[in-house]
Amino acid sequence: MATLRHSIVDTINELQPLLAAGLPQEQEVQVRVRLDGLYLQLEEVLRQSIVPDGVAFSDAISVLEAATEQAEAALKDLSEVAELIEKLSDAIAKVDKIIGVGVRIV
Amino acid sequence: MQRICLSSVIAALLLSTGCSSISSEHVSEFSQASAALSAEAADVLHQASEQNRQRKIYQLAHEPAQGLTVERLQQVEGFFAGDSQPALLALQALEEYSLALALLAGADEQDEIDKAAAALHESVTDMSERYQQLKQSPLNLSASEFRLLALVADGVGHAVFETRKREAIREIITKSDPAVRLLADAIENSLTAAEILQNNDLRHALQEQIADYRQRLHDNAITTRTRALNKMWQQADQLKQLPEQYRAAREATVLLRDSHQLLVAEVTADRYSGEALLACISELNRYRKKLNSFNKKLKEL
Repeated sequence: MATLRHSIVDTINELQPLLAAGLPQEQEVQVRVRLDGLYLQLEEVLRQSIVPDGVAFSDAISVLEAATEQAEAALKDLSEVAELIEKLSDAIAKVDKIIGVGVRIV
Repeated sequence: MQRICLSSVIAALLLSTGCSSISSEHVSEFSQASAALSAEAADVLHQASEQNRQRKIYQLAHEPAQGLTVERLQQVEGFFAGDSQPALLALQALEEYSLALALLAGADEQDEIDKAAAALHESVTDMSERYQQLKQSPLNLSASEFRLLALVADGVGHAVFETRKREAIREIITKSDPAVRLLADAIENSLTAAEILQNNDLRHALQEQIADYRQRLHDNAITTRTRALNKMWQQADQLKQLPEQYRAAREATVLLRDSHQLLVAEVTADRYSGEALLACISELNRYRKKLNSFNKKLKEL
């Protein structure tokens, strides 16, 4: 069964190579901000004991998985990065609903 | 003939004194090995925490320079330096407890007993606090065990001294065991968190260096490039070894817990020396060396 920590780690792992992919500066900043948000959330998830159930939990897992797939696509085709940025914002907001640390990407 | 008999009696007496000394040495050696292994396991968490701090420094390096202030720098801290510090404190408590136990097991005179009692009191109080934090219930270890220690050497011969010391060791080890088990389990969980973080943080540092390498590829001389590549290779190699390192660290924690349980069983059966304890000492030392070797490599990065 998917866990929040593993789903966040998977997304981070797919995002990291983008840092060296030569993104336009504005997009790189946007990806970095979201990556930092995920790191913060990962640390919080490791501190908390999260019960893996409920709609909010499955929502968070599915948007994280969508963001991970999009990151894979973006690494192959940089024109996919804009959509990735959207999906990452969505994923961070959904994870925050569970851990409640107030990470918001605007 | 009479002379031979007398020699035999003296030899037997020396032998029995020797055995008694060996038994203390075994408990002492066991405790020292436990303390050393606890320290190495704590070092694993320190390394993970330091790697985590390093990743946050990379993050800071990408922020607008105008935002850099003393306060912003003070916010940067490794994972195990913040709210997750109890895991490190738990390991420290285990290390201090083991050292104090070694001191007691090796004590021959009243002032050594007093020192050991003071060290034990402090370390068990620490363990008790960590236990309460984690379990939300008090640890059943009272000050009476330490009164027992204070009585150990008062005007008694060596045999009585040794018996009382053993009695104290048995009481303390038995009553501390729930805390040792609980702390070891908590440390095992923290190692899982540390592995996830260190893997991510080391990967992040590598990606930053790869990005930097690509950007400077044509500006740098071949010697600069090979130096950078060698550094990255070392980190990539370390990343590959992380799962093995953490497996060893987790096994070490389980070993600390299980060997303490074995110690309880041995002293309850009035065995203060023997093959079982020796095998445990050897295993504790083997894991200490293993972790030490990993920690050294990480420090070299």
